[in-house]
Amino acid sequence: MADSSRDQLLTLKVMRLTRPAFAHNLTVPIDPADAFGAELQTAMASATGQTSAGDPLGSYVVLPQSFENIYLGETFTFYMCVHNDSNQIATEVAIKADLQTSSQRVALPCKMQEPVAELSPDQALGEVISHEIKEIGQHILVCAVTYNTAAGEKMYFRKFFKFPVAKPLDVRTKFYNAENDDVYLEAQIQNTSTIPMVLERISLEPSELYDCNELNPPRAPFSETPIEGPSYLSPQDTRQFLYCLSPKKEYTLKSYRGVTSIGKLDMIWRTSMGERGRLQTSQLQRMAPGYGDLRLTVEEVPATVRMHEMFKIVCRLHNCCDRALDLQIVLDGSLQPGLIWSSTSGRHLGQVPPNGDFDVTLNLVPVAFGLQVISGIRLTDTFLKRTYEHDEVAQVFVS
Amino acid sequence: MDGAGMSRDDSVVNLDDMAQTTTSRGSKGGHSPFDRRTTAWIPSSRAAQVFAQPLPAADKRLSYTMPGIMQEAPLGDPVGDLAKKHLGDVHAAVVRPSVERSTDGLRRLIASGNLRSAVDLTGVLLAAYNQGFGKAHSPSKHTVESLELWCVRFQLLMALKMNTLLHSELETFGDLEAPDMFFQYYPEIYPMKRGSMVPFSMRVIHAEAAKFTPNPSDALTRLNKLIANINAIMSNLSHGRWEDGSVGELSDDDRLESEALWKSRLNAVRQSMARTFFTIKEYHLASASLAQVCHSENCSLEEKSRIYSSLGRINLELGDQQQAAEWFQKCSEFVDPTNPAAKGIVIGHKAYQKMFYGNYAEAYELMLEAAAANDANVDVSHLS
Repeated sequence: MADSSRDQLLTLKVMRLTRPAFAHNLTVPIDPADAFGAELQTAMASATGQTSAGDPLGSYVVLPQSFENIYLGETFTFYMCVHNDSNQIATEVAIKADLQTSSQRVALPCKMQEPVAELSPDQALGEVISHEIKEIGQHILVCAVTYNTAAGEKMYFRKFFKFPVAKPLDVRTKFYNAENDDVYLEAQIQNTSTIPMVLERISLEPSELYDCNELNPPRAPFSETPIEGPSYLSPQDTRQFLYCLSPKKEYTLKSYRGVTSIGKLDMIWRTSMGERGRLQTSQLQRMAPGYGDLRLTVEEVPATVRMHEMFKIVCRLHNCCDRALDLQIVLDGSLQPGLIWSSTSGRHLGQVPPNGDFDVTLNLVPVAFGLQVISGIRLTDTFLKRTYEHDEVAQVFVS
Repeated sequence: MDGAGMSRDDSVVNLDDMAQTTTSRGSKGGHSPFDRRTTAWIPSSRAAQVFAQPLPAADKRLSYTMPGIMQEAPLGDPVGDLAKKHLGDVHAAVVRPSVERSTDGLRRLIASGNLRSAVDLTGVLLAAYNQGFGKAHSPSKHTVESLELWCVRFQLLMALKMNTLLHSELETFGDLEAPDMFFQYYPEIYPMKRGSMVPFSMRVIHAEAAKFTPNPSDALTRLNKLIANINAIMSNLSHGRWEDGSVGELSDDDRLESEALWKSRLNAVRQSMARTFFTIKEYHLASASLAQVCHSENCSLEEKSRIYSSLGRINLELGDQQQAAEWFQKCSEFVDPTNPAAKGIVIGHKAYQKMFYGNYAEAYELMLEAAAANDANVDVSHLS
């Protein structure tokens, strides 16, 4: 093998290809009444090529000047170029590129991997390579070049390019359980990068147990002077998104007990001049509220009732366990002084099969004004002599 | 000038002579309606209080504003030095003109783009007014000409991005509202004249330069004060009074011209605000300021199309292509169809949007088309 301290014939250069950015203008405020101001503007324009001293961004687009931050979810695109600096011909030129992170080493697809190329003096060979960044932390791009000199000597050198990858977004989720088995997911997305970003599309891909309904307002129509805030997200700002997940009809309530997967949050964003990024969360998990063996939901209840006028509520009893329940209902009025039960207490309701429903209609008479809470329903399973207490099942307003 | 008991060193310059020479900017110290309109300013309460009393004799008057340049060494010629280093003395590629040490010479330097030499020349000319290096905080007299020199110096410093020097030299001027910044303070030189000697450009630079300090919101405070003063002036005009509120002869033409002037100055201040918002990354507010300018009644079509194009570019830079497309659409509505450069601008907008989505090949084709439509308004070079 060649002595690595010998001078190399070829040099390798790597340039990151981000989107081009607009040149920043030199700006100087100009008094419209001052003829001299126009002269100054012309002089500045001749020096920089910009057309006006008033716009912060010029109409020229410039190549990336320095290595900007790169974030998880973005695509790392770079141009790798090998140039023959010497006056010899180099044969069997091959370049390999690997991306090394703390956990793995990925070989990047490169057309110049095969040692078939030949470089004459002052000739260059280059290629554009793209790779989606899927990890955070320190990344090292390793480029290895092998070639033969004119004398047939095998030469080899490597170059290392280190760059850090940071997290661009921070996602926090909150679950809200509605009374009707729906789950509301609030996603708070915070921009943890250093530049403003535009959230192009934030969607929830539901798991097979749920249907998803997005509850976010559509983008406001264009207005020159918008009333709402900016369409972009500044660094450290947070935006919230709301989704309603309804359990699919074909699954019984049993499937939703315990821990269930809700779905994945898919986020697509754009930063300066269209630099695109995409991230997906892992499956979001939700702990279902426990209902025990017997669940009581109020299917019908009036919102307001008149004083001393009897009203009825319809309760649905759902058997959540695996055995049949033989139910007897007892109504205890001591917990609700403002309402009086007007149905038979101590009734035997009958058997409810596993996962079955049973509706019960109960009557009440209000005797006090204001917001009254309905409590005191006691259901006893005669098979196992177990009593299930249901209090504060609903509220009515008595006027 | 009385020789005995002077509190200032007047030996360097004879202000009577200076008052007679006219600079390339016009006399300003005169009494034509144009002079009155452009130098009108409502004095601050502090200055008004001083003018309410009879002024002391010229030699016993206080000096409130005491500026001086803060850099002695010439700015040098980095481009010339670099050329010499790489190309050698023989090729001496960069030739700097030599001009006479006067305001005409200053204009020649600026017109030919030699901004650094121009700054050095302002330093030399200001030394003649006793406001050269090391003279900060020592008393000196102000005239329209000396303040114009300062104004040119500040404009050049801002164009050269020499913000620390700009800031330190602006500091001695305070808020530009000291009594000695008004014509009323020098009745023997400018008899019967009221208004501010501070050029309007200097006021805007003084405000906008604060955006480069650790407290950029100072710029917004100052700009808002400017807007308040301009609004007060326009209110006076609409009531048939002179700009500073005094009652005098004001023909309809005069009033209309003045209103037009101050409206355009208001737009200049709004654009300054937009640039300040841009610097502090409040792009949303920058857009709002620029939209205000476009909606004002005296905004020309050319101005509108320029601003809409600028707004589109700002939004692309942010990452918001939808909004940018709307702004570009508005721009094309106001672009002058007889202007050959206009077609190039519209194609340029399409090219930017192609670049946004990574379609560099299509963007390149569009750029070539734009270049064919007009020459060199947009230029791009990209590896793809």
